[in-house]
Amino acid sequence: MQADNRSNYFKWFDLPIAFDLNLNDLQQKYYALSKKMHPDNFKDKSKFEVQLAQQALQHSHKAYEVLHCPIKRANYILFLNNIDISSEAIQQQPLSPAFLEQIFDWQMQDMQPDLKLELEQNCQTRMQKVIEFLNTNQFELALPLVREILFIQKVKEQS
Amino acid sequence: MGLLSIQEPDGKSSHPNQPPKIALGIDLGTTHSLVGAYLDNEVVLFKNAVGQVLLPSVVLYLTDQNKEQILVGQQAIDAEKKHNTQKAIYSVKRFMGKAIEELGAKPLPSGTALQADEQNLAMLSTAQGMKSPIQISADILKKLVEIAKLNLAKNHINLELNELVDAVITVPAYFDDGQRQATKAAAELAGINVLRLLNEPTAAALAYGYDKEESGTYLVYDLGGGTFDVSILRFQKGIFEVLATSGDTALGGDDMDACIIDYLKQFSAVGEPPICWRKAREIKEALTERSKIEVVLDNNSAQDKKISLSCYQFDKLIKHLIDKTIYITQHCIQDAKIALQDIHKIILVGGATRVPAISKALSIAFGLPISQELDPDKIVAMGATLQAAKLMGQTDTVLLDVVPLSLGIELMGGVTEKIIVRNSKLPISVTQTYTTYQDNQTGFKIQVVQGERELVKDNRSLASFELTGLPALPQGKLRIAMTFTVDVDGLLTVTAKETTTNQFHQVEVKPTYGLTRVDIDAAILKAAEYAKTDVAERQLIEAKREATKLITFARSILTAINMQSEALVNIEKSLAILLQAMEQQDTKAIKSATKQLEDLLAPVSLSYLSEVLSV
Repeated sequence: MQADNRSNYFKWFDLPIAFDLNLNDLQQKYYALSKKMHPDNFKDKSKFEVQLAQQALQHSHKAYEVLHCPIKRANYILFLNNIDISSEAIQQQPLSPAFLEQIFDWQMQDMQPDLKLELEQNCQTRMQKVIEFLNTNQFELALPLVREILFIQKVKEQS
Repeated sequence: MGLLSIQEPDGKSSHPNQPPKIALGIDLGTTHSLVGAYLDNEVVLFKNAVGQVLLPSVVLYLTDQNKEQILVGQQAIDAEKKHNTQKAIYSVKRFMGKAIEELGAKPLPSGTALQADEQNLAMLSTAQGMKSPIQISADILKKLVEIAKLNLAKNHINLELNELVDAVITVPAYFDDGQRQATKAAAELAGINVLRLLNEPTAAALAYGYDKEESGTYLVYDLGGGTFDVSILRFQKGIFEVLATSGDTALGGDDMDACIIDYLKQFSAVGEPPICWRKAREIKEALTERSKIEVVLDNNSAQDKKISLSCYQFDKLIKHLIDKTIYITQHCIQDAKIALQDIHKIILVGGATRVPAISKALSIAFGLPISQELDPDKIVAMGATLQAAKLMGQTDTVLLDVVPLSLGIELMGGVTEKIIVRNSKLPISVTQTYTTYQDNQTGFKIQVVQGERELVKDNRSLASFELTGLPALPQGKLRIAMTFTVDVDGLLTVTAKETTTNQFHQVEVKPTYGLTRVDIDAAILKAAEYAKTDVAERQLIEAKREATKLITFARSILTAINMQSEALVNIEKSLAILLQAMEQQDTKAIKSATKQLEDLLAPVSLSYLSEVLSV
């Protein structure tokens, strides 16, 4: 991932860099760009242009996928503010012992509908705080919560 | 709905203003194949000489007094009946891109022996020797092209008999890379330039949504002779977006026929097949209209046996097959991440959906309205024809399709690592970096797999290649960047690049099946217009054409973008070199100058594109 101007997912869709966005608006812009950049529109052009269009379309898909999903969008805003969650430095930071205990507890349980609901609620309460922190530029405070949400999602998927 | 008309072989209408560029839409089906074209603003599906739109996908190879003859379609079936043989090849699509062991215990077409080729792919025995499924499919495609050319000639559109034709060909959405490559190879052998491999459920939705203004989300349930596909699509503002796709490439109407044969075995003498495939298919078709039928078993004995088979019994015989399709459909809805009530309609595609038990089971499981407005046998060909017309003219709708099956590579210990996950939008390109696990390791073996399972052995192996001559470095120092790219046809290219030292070791692999690239190129050269002109001359023309387009693009960038003078000078210089090479008619020089210009343009092009295309 590169955070330069052009490949910035928000700028790509001509959107302000902010967590809150209109999903419908995003989708319409994604559709409009996809339509313009589809390789079918470049069939009389040079192979080079076709390749460029393909790259642009791929970038659109990726940008849409990230911005469309709240947790990925939050993570991306952190990334734009020089907090790369996949970096070794952050991966090695310990999570809170209480949270790890909670995760362990969840992993021991059978995935019943009520556990699923509990996990979802845990994600949602954290997400609300993440949004608050992001909107007030307190990125360092959002970071541990984003990591925890990603962990909870993993538990959900594994079951 | 005015979308479909059937072209009579003696079509009287004439089209003096018809543009010469025509592209065909082809549905290469397990049971039937169809071909059409978009004429005078409507889809026309062509009839063959005996007046059928559905060409049975049956091929019979004959050798009479050293004269070889290939019969396709109804002719093959009739000849088989007349000679009382069971040598015709049915359902060859089931063998496309498949290794022998993958076919397992699946029912085989009657009277055909299988054999493995050097790549362990299935070959079928015929009176004209061993034939690969690709060659047999190519013979069906040749027949379709012939039918199309005869019909087009009646519309005063004359194509040379050996001229390459452009076509969109449909494939099951759940076809893996091997099966897609095999289909493309068959088309090339038949002298077809493939504009697009289009997924069958997508084609069906396209035909369905074509003249409807309203947006909507459809579930396409496509049960053909040998394959089952389910796709969920959303149509909105000129975009066809595939949300999810799933299926089984070895499940279809043929399996229902197998159930009938299995059932009748108990009434037949030991070791004798009770009835042939053709007969089983006829029984199934009869049961879609009648509640009970009588089957006569010819036991080669004094008395023939009469067995009655009711619709109710038949439904019980095939229940496990239908349950399987419902299960796959439920998962597809989950993958699409939408609620059941967001789906407006289920569209039924494929002849096997005529079996009444299917609509019943779908109604019970999902409670959604089921649409049968369009003929399930023709809807895919109609969609292919529409897409072909769109690709020839201006595009007002585009398709955003997905990768049907995850793609990955083998890690140590036979575990699969997914690089591209299924249901990702096409085109897609993903790069992942790997490192060596031993000191001074100079080689790297890479196995590319496709499928959803954890272990490599459970997935399909697409290609295996080796990187050699890498610089010797300590363990973990060397970096290999693997890039997986899947284009809009759903075809995969893998590139591996060593990125630690600047030695730039790069390989590109396009998996090929059954036929090598060289075989195909040779066949095309032989079959097509290329034969008329010298190859070298042809290459020069192509290189010049490509260079001219690039020059146009370069000039438009130069006028649109303010760039630093150094970059500008370099591009101007490179342009001059290219123009000179073109003047000297030097193919090699044109190609290298084109490449040089591309490299110079690359850093500025994307910003140009995003400016031009900005919303």
